[in-house]
Amino acid sequence: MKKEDVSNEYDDDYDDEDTQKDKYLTFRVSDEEYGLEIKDIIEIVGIQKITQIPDVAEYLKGVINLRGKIVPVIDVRLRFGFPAKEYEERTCIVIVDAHSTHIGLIVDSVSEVVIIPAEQIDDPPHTTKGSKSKYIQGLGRLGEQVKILLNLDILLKDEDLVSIDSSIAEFKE
Amino acid sequence: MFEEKPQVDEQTKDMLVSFVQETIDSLDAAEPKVGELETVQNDETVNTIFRVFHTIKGIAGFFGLSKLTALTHQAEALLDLIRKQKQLQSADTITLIYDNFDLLREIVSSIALNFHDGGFEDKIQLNVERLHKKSKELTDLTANNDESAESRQSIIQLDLSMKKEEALNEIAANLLEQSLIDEESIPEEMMERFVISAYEMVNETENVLLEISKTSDAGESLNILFRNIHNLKGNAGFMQFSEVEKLCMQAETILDNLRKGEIDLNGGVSDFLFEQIDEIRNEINKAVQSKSKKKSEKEEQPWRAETKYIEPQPASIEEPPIIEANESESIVSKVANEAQKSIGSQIQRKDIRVDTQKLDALFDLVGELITLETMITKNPDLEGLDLPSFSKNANMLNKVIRELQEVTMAIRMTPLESLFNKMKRLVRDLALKSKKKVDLVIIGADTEMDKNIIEAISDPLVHIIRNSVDHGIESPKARLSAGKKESGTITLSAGYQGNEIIISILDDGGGLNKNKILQKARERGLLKEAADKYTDSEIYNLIFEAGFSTADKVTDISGRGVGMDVVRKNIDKLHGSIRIESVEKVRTQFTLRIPLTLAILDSMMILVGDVKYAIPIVAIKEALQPMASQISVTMDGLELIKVRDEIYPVIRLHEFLGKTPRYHSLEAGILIIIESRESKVCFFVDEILGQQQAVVKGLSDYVGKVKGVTGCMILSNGEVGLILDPDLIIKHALYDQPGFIN
Repeated sequence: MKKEDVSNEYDDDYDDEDTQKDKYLTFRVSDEEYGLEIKDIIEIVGIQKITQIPDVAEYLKGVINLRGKIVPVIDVRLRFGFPAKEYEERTCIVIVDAHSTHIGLIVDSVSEVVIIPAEQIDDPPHTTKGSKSKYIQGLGRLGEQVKILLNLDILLKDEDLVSIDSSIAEFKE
Repeated sequence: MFEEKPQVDEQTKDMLVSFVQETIDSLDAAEPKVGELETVQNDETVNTIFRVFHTIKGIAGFFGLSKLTALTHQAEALLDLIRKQKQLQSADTITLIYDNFDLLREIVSSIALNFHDGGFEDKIQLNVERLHKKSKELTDLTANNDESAESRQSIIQLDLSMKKEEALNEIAANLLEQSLIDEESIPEEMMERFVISAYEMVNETENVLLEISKTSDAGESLNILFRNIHNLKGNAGFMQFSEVEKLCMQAETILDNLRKGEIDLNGGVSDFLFEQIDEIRNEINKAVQSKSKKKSEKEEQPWRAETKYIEPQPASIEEPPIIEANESESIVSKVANEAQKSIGSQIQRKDIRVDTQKLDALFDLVGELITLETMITKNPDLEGLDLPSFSKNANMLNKVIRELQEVTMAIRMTPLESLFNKMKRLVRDLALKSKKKVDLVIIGADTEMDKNIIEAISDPLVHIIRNSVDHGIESPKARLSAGKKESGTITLSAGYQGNEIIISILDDGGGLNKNKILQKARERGLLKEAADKYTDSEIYNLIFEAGFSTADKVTDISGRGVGMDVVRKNIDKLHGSIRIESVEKVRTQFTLRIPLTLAILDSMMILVGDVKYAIPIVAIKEALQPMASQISVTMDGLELIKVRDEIYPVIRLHEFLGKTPRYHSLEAGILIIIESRESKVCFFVDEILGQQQAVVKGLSDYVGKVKGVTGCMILSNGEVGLILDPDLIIKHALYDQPGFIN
């Protein structure tokens, strides 16, 4: 499928909140469909050469040059604890805006933009099993399908990263 | 005078902000002159400082900042005395003036935030009293000024509601009295005063006249008018402006008749008075111009600056000119003309204020342009193609972009002068405090540097100089007995060397005592080896250790190191280096080398495995391909390489970076000798690719700090390359524990 550039739509100043409401970008990671709120998405780019950074968490694959901007990229597969998969043509980097910091999410493929009204979204499953379900913001029902809607903040916030960060900071001081 | 209003409109806010900026600028500009009062007797120096206070006073008055006005008035009075004294000033006086500079800075900074001058009443009161006292001392010193002293002592207390009229009359009275006593008194200064007060009086007269022409009952207003004109007449007469005097006399006669009720304002009398005032103003203008012409022939500088005073004056009348607009348009246009004229006579400023954020944005863009240029001209697609015309144009593009980069950098460059001037003050204060005599010699103050870097080196410089005065320079007694000049000399010099700025701080004091330092270091457990294993510079570098010698610094002969760890940290942040040279009992020299700009780094591109990295050129001493005979391995597996007389430990960068190298054997790859601070090591890499200017970009905040990496850059193929930090790599690779180095 073709890469879909939602950035123009997003960047448009006239684009008000309403047109973004209930819209989710869905993408595929290892046989499952996930969704992120459109308002957080800046653009989608194809996979490109990633510069690795030494000594960081495994899923933090490195940084890319996005038109002169340095953008760190995260492999969502690895983040979820799935086995790594070689990048291919369909692999995409979804650039998101997390509190004004741009971060790239590597996903297997991008699917589409769907509208899921709030009443069709269920709470995440109540379970203490597994540690990854904390990334789930809700479960979107869309006809027969269920899209797992992700909480971007929790997805990006990383205990390991923070610890590495601060330990280095300490070190430097 | 308009009273302090709780609500300040936007326009006034803007004006206040620019007033604050200008005030700080002028304080900064004049501050170095203050110190000169102590050493050189120069009228111009005194005038400069006087003008600063005077200008602030004038504008503060316009804004109704009465407390500020009171303070500057007092300061001005002191400067006035100094000006008349024509003597070198005591340290005490200088300190007082400095203190006032500081207080003024504080007040105006607060004005920029709060738009009023409140909150400093105590300090102002204190300073006003100090100034008053000092003024008194000075007047007592000058015997023949006894009589005029009395008038001058009519100090403005913090009577915040003081009427401007009184102040004016006081000035006028002062002027007259003083001139009677002191016939030879400096005419230009009096002239200046006369012009200011004359304009004020004329403007005020005009205003009052406008008021009374509307009302029938004019008793007190007429008195004011009469008094003003009378004063003006007196002053003009004294200044030998006979035309003005004549006009005033006519006006006075009419006013006197009005007062007595012999005539009333109707029937063209007020019109006549207005005309008369216009005439007076014209005459003053003429008189000033002819005088100033004469002056400027003799001495150009003072007058150009003095004409500036005229400018704020139309504004400092009782009510803002805008109010007059509906009354009489001709007056408005006249006021405007006047303002115009005086503005025109000011020195044309060639600079503009630009928000530094805009500059940063421009800088970023140029950085991106440089990157893009390499991406295009060195595009992998072009490899192997013979494109003569393209290459020619690419070269031209390259040239223009380099020029653009230079110009952009030049915008952010400012001379070190302001920073060095601060040091003058610092040295003076420190010397006073430690009862030493210290001369500061400044060389190369016109050297320009990126503004951000200047700010960053300010602290280190202060620390170094403080140490030089505190611990370096000996007491006058000790110096004399050591056969040195009584006063010590600190030489602060700056200059370019390649892409770096070299700043050196040299003192002819007692030098560093190596044994003392070693002993101290041993006490603190900083010595890892026997003392004799340390080279001089290694010993000196011990003083940069955090907390080194902060204790018992008084007894410690040259226990430098107070805040020295801060010095090193700050310099490190700038990718700079610092070196100490010292000859005991003779001198100590600190040499800072700092790259011209933070944003662009000269780097050496290297290859490890299939990844390109950049190493700052500053850190690289040389590169070589070793022979097997040079290599030895310790029991721990640490490889050592002997180059000439030095032995370096080898750090395999591929191991550090977790890459698969092209070569495993040291002889096959390249060794880069790194001299970072005092650690000397070799980095083992696969290949050296050549030099490149790197536009330094931070790794994303999200990634945070990364082991051994300072930042990144965009390579010619559009990928991101990491810039390595040799210091951090050494720390991690060799010591593997935080905080240990050296």
